Amino acid sequence: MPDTSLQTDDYLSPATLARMGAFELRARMVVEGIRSGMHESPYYGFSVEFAQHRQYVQGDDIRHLDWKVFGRSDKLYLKQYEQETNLDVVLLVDSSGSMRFGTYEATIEDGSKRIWRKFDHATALGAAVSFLALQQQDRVGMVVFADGVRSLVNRSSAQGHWRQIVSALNTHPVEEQTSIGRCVDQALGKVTNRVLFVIISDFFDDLDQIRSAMARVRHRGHDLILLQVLDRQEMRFDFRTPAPFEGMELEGKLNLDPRSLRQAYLEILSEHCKSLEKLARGFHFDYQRIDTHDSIGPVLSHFLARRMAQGRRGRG
Amino acid sequence: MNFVHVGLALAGVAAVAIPIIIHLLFRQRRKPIDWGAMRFLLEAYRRSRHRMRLEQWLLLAIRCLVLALLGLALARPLLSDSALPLGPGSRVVYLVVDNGLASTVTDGQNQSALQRHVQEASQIISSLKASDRVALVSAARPIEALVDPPAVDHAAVLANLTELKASHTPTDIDAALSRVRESISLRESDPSPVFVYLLSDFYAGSADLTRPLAARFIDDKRNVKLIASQPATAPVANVQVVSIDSKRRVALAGATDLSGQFTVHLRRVGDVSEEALSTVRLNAEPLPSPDPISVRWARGQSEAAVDMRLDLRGVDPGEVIVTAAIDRDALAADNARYNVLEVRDVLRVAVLDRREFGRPGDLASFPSGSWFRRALDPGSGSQISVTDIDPASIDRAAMRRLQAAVLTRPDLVTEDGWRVLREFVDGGGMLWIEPAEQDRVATWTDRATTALELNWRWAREAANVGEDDSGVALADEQPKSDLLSLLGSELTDLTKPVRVLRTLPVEEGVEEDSIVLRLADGTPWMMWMTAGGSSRGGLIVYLSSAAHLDWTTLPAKPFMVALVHEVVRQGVGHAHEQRELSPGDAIAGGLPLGAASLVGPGGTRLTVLTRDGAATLDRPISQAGVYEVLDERSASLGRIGVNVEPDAGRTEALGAAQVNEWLGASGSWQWLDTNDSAAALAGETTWGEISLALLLTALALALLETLLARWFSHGLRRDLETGGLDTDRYSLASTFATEGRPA
Repeated sequence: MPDTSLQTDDYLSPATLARMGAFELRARMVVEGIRSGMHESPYYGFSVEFAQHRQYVQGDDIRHLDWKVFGRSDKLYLKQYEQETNLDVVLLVDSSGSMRFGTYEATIEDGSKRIWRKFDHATALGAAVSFLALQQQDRVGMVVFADGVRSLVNRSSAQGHWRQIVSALNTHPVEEQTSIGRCVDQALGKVTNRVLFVIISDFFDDLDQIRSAMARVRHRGHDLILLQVLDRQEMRFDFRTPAPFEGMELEGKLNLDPRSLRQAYLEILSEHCKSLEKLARGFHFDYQRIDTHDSIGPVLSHFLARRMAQGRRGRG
Repeated sequence: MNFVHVGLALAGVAAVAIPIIIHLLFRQRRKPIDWGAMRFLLEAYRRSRHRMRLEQWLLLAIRCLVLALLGLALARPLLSDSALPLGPGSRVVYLVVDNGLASTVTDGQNQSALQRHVQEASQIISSLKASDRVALVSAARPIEALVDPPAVDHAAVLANLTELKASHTPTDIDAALSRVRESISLRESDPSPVFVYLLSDFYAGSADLTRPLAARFIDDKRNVKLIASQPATAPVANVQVVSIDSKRRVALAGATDLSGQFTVHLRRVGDVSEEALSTVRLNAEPLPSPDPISVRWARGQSEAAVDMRLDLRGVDPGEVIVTAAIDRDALAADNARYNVLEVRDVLRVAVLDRREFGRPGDLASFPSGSWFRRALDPGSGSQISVTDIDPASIDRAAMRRLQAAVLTRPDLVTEDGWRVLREFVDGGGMLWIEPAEQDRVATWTDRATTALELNWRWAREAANVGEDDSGVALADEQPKSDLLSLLGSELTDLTKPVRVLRTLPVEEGVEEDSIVLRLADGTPWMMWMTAGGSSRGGLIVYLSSAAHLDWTTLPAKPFMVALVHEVVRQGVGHAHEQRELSPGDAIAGGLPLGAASLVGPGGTRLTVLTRDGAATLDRPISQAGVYEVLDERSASLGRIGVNVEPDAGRTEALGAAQVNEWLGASGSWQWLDTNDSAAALAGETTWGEISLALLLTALALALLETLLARWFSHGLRRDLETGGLDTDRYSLASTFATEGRPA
């Protein structure tokens, strides 16, 4: 069991979480961390209650057309009602090969070293988000994907559902490429009501496919949060000696002097991340980049604060 | 391209593989890094592939080049003129020019061999490049390094060359080549190729093929090329005056004896296959010259002698230069020979004897000194002036006026007296010593030996000789001594009546050729010696019996007068004889005391220097002729003749095969191209060393490699841009921290 003297950040830091060998324990640690910070943290539910008109786009259900507005303005608007019911949250957790990468080295209880991977960080985040949603009586579902859907947990707000989610997260990444578009398509096929999708991934995928996926999500009226998990070394790339680099998604091997390629690499990665963020902002989705060497607590807190502010603006 | 160390050059080339091997080895041993964001890395690689490949090849090439250059630099490469970017490497040329007497042989165009050699040398110099260095050595004895060490001032060398004059000395090629060899060895670190030109016609007077060359170029590690001019193919007929022998070395003015008789010896060298005619002239100004005498040379005849006579009547006392000359032929310098004849009005002789006053007794008690006085001055008209000096008080001033002295009482001479006698002898006097008639045990011999530095060791006691009272006769066959040479066949008749009863013999130290008279039993009876081996002249004659009838019957015999006169006349001539000097001599030992300088033909002045007690000239004599000897106040001390060494004028052609074999002992020689003296230079590629340039290039490349490697890895670029290493400049983590992280 974790030390009770730990602070919230300690509970949610990679150093603490990595020490927990069993994933179950790690999830519990995340929950403890959230609970210990509840009284002072602005954690609110995901229920977003507001009514509005939205311009009709092709494919919308015409049952929700506001004929009165059409009569007055000769324009088609959809009538969106205030939802009194709780929000459905679907987590999409990336388990592709690139999520196996990590450079944070933590010392576990037996003294041996353990590498904290991006996937570890993603699952910890997933457990935390699902716990918060279930606390608000929201229904939470989850999809673990790579090139396609690897496992799926149906939405539910039942007691003990969090254990199912945690159990599903207790898996390993596979040597497959990321295919966010395909996964989102499959997830969209299973939902009819409005859902908040939370994609936790490194988003090492084709930006066009991601754009298409976002468009479809937006088209269906769903909301989307993009949590991009990156390792600090991926963002710095400060290797000093020449070495062969081997892709984790079967891209092959490359012998190179990393110093000579650092600038070009960081420029491309930066460009990719900025484009991703720009895409998300364009669809009014939330985007958050997360460093695996940092604690997930502050990230969650910051994210939820932004989410709350957006909700208020929407209601107001 | 050549290398001083070829092995290092190969090692340098092999070292090129080192960076490649290191690269391959490290490539195999590096552990792969699993990388999640490989798609971006691949994209970055795709974008930068061409640039990176170019950079890597450039760095690899520079590294390989640095190692190769280092290896090459250590191997000390030599580049030919044409390959050297900064101009040709320098060559070193040694010109050894034969300017000995034989080099004055002229050809059909009246051009001497020396003039031809100077032209060849000038042609060689004019073909040289400005950076080439030239040394000039004259080979006439004594050899002289006119320009050494080798100089780039070709004009100065040419000036020395054109001023080079023929010497009247033999050529010493061996010494000249040894000098060149020494000069080369002093510059062993200089890699420039060396060319040694030996310019000579190789007549017999230039090269003594009986003596092997000591100068060795065979073992020379440097690139030395030896070039010799072609030897003369035909001998040149040359007649030399080898010597002038006078019957009397000291002539008496007005004498009608043999004083004016001379024998002139001639030698024909070179081509003796034809009959020839030589005319000999004798000249002794102001005396009238005798008629010339013609010598008809038969085929194959190489030597001839001519007797000639000068009429000395009316000649004033002093020195007369006697010159024997022949007609001009191939070599002019050996066509004349000079001799100095000393003419005196009277010979001053002292008898060092204690006079006994009173009536002389019978002949048996007649003292030795009296016998000598009578023998020296037998009557009126004698040209020998006799004075008496007491042996116990020998006066230095009185002795200076004498030419000869007869010491009959050596037992009375004091130590100081012996010292004065030594000075007298050293000054060119003749001293006749005989035992004192009173001697039983001779104690004076020790003092005499010490003072006069004699090698003789006398017997301590005088002893009778012979088995009975009749004593011992003189030997029938007497030695051929110069002192009595003019007596000729009369000597036997004169010596026959003489009996020797008692002697104080010299037991050791008598050399065979110094014996004048010998007893019948072979014992030396009269002998001569120079004092202390002095080279200045002076003569000591010892008769081992006193001129007393108790010792010998000589005083009462006719031989007494003849012996005394001949020994005194010839002895004084020997004692005054000046050593004959030759061109090339630098030692002035034969000059009179007080000589300070010599003035020769054309006003040539040579200064006499005294070093470590030996008189030397400031430079060697180069020309034959008559030289006047001056003292410090430029007053004349007399004249001397300087005559060429006959061997210097030998004009036999030695032949290419013999010369080639002789030169071959010192190295591998090639003949000079007669049409193009500088051909050997033109065909030779010179080499210059570029090690330093290679080292500097390697250093510059190593520095460039360091900068480029840092630039390519962006380290230097960042340093330049930020002034320090900013590892987070492109880091997304920093961007994230500032943009997204909550407080």
